[in-house]
Amino acid sequence: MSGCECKSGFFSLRDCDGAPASSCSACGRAVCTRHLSPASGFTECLDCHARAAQQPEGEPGAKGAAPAGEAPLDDEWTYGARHRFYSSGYAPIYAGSRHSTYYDSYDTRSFDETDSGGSEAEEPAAGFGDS
Amino acid sequence: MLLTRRPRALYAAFDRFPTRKGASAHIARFAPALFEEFGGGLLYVLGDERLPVHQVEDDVEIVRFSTPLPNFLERAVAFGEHLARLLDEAEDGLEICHFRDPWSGVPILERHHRYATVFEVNALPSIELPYAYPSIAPRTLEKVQAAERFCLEAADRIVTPSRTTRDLLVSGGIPASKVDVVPNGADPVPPLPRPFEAPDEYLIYFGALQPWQGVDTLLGAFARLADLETLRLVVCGSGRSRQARAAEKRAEKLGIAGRVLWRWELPSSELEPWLGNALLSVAPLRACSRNVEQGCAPLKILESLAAGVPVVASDLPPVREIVTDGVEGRLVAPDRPADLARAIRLLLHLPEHRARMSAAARERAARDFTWDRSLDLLKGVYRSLRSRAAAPSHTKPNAEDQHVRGSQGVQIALA
Repeated sequence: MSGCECKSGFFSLRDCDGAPASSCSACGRAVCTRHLSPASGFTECLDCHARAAQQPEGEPGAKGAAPAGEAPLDDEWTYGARHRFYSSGYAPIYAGSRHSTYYDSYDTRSFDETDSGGSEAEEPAAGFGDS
Repeated sequence: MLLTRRPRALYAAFDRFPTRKGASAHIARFAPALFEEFGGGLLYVLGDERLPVHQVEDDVEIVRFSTPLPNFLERAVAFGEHLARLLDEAEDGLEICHFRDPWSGVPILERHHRYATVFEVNALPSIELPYAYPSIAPRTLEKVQAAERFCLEAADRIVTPSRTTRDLLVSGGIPASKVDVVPNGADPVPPLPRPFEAPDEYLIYFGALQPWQGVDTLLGAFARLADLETLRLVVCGSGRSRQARAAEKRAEKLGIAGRVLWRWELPSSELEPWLGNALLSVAPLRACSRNVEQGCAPLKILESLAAGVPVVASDLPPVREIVTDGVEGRLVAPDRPADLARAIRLLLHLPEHRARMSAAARERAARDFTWDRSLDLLKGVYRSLRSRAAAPSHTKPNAEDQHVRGSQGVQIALA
């Protein structure tokens, strides 16, 4: 192993290159102690642990996700599965943000990229100030 | 556990960070100022597949929402929902939350909280989103506007870089006493060697190419300067978007493609030599609601002044806050390629005049638009709020509120 493969820095990111203490159990990168996640019991890097926490519950990779091959009958899993199915190209039904009732599928349709008139916001991860 | 420590300050922005966009440059200045005042904190921003999801840098923790969601609104809502989860964990220790948009602001403001709140209004989604998404439904826009309104009313303080924006907010009923103008700044740029591939004489446009920037007007003006055979136009775009490709096609259609040089996503170390050696910098902003009513504080103009490059810009209220016609540059009627071409031609023929403007531009930037000055003003806002951190809950929703509001659940009646 060479140096820690995580990134450091605020505005300018650079390779950490700290002395690796372990490898991440999720991504396999060499990680120094500073980039191991305490919340994971120091088994995952900070990035992998945070990424999993951002997955909607029930999605593959999320904490507490259903084991592969099983289809639990709880509402959360059903919502996730339905969202994946409908977003696979079958029909434009939105069921992604389960906890939000403020914006609905009618609202999100306005932001489908194919309907937009073209913008800087076409970048898939753009935020508001990126537009 | 999502966080490794308990932050005292939060800076939240539904923007990718870091990037080469102006929003990112702003975050890079403001967030450290906040963390300096409060001994570190949490920066919550948007990420992408290339950026780390979670960083701990000394006393600053950075979390980037990185779930790839192609739909803008779906992404924004999910961003806010994850922020709510972070707040569940962090709110006990938080003294202040600074946010830049309603998707960050609603989760921060809708819960019972003891922390102080600052809404940094650089732009209003209800005004800017229709440019990016022309087919946005009126009902959806009303919801966005209601969320915006909720944030403007519920935030303890509002900071904005433009007096035009402040006037708009105050005219909409926001008390003037809670709105502070904190101008954008620019670092002085010393004289730099000319880039080796730079033409002898060129105008420069740099920044993004959204419709409100008026690059079409500039291309139309440049086509009228075809008799100045050695003159070139250099466009340094912050991203090669669909609109950038449309601008390239427009240049071809106007027969000026061979005289326009396109450069994309230059880091500031490469952009500054291009800027510093230009004859003039052009900011042809359109006379549209985004610029005229909402206001703006274009970094491209400030950075041109700081580099000592005279500016030819549209004569609009937010631009008049930065440039005085005939002193640091020329202000011309917006959306008129012929007027813009005439102003450029005149200045090109008056090198002594340009030299005077160049000196005045540097002087103005050093006097009125330094980041140090801006950050002092911002820290003054934070200090005035510190005493409120221990005050009782700022938001006291009644039972009905709690029933109606969910995550991002702003009442439409606020509009």
